[in-house]
Amino acid sequence: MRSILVVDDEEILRDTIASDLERKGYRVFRASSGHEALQLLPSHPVGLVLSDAKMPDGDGISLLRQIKAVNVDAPGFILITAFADVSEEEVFNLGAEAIFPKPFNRKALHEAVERAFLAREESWAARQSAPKEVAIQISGKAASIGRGGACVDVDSDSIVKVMDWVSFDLELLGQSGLAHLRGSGLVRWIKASPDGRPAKKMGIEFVVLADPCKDWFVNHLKQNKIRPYIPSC
Amino acid sequence: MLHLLLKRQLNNLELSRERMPASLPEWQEFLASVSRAYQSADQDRYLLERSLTISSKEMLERWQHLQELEAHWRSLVDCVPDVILTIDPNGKVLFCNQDIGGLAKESLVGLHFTEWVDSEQAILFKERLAQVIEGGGTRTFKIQTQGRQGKPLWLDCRIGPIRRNDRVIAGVVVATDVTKTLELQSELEIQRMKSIEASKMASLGEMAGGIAHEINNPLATIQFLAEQLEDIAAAAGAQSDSIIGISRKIVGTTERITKIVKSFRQFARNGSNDPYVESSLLDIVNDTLDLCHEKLRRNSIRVEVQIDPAIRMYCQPVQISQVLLNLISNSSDAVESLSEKWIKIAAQCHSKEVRISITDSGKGIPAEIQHKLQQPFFTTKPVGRGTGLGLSLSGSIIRQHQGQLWLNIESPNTEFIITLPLRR
Repeated sequence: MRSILVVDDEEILRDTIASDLERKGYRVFRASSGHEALQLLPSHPVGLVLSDAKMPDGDGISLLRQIKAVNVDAPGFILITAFADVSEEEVFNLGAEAIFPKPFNRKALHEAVERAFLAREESWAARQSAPKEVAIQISGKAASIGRGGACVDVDSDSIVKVMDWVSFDLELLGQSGLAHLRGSGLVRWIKASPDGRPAKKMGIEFVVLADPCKDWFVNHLKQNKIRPYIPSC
Repeated sequence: MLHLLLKRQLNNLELSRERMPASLPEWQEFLASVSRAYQSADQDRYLLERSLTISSKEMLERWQHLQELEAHWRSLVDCVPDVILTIDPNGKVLFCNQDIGGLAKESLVGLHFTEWVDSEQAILFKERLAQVIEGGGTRTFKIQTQGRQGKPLWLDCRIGPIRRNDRVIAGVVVATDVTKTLELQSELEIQRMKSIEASKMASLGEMAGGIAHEINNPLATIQFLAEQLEDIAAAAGAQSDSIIGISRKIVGTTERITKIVKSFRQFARNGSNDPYVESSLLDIVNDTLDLCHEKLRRNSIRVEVQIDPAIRMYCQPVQISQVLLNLISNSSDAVESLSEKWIKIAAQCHSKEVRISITDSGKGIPAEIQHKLQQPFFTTKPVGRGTGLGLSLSGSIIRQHQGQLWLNIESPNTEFIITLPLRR
């Protein structure tokens, strides 16, 4: 049975989320702080941690650091935050698979939870929420690659916003030569140039990967122990 | 004189018309008398000549000394950084040691003070001069005059009497140019107000963060439960339509609260060091309106927005939002007491810039205060309502963006225009 650990000091929200996920068929454990979560983890089979960011007794970011520091097969991690005191770029770089600002859409959370349990091979198929056609084309070099996305050096003057859907064609220099990653995904963060010129670096979360790239990518992940979900540049 | 001496010598001889020198000794005595008279005259002449020589030498020395003194005082007067003027009791300049602003010192002599002092201060000048001429003593006052290139020049003046025989015959004015000091003082005051504003915004930002955290937590629960309710109702069947409707309204409302909290938090940040990012103008305007929506609605002010959603520009969005909020808030204050109340925000793109206009139903701004609008601390609002910094800060934000902010005096209504470059 797929099991989830819900960590939040806000009791009502923790129970609301937990019982909702139980109704969805997951086995759910509850913890009221990062500290409690860390004590609970070794003895409980947890596939995914769903944690609030700001808690008095051990915050979500430290919890994320400690969980992902153990090994690459650590449980998945979804961070929920009421007030952004940490950047998305940092959270993804630490290895979290998703980040939700409070309040959030329940269906989107369900989707992220389901996706976190998918095998790597399956997870690059089209998602329900993915649009059929994507208007923005991004091409450039993937400066570095993570388990779920890449930090991209964009060589065009493309105008994109965070949360835009983009289709991409990225060059990637791997051990086996130059590879091309094609697919579509979401812009998760954009690094603004300090001099005010259009942004050149952005974090793109892969949602759909084209078939030949999918196998290459899964292999690549197997060979290299990569911790970041989307690496920061 | 020789004649007098001769006469006296001859008198000694007791000679007369009847009694002439008769003998040789008498003639010898007569001639000796004449010779004595000549000798005595010679002596007198010598003494006279000597004293004349001495006094003219003394005069030369004194004259030289006077000249030295004059040169000494003149160089003192010339070296003083202050302006020194002497003025006759009627107000005409008798002497001036240096140019005042654009006026040459030579051209000042003979001018009446009303010809070079601004009319408001001329009254003060006249009063002080009269006081000094009548009663002696010194007085101080400040006057404004025209400096070089039409810039105003501020002079701190002291006026005192010049006396002759206990009678005041003129006034001496010593004036210090305090324009720079005054400018620095006002600059300092602006900096001080800005830092107060910044610290106010910083604590507001901190508070906004706290509020966001406190509100977003229960909001997350409400939204989550409402969405769950919708699911449950949907599963229960068709007669639950009203429940679905209600739960959707709850979700819609939580989304509205979320947006307000987000805008408030965005706005309360000090955005002056934010990076320039490409932003949609319409988004910035809508986010700004979210913040003052309630105030506008309460005062029944109609807001019309005519902005193409495609307009995007490089800017610091929070800063631009602050400028817009300021202009909207000014408009709202200005039209709240009018019978016709509206604010219109429109934008047009020209080749390289966007022109944003904020117009309200007011009938423009009086000509006499138009030039003061962007002066710091100038406000027409009652005490406690306005700091007089809004337009001045807005102007500086827009200038930092390499744009311009001005009042369109040709508009029949009150219209402010912002131009901003689309790209940097």
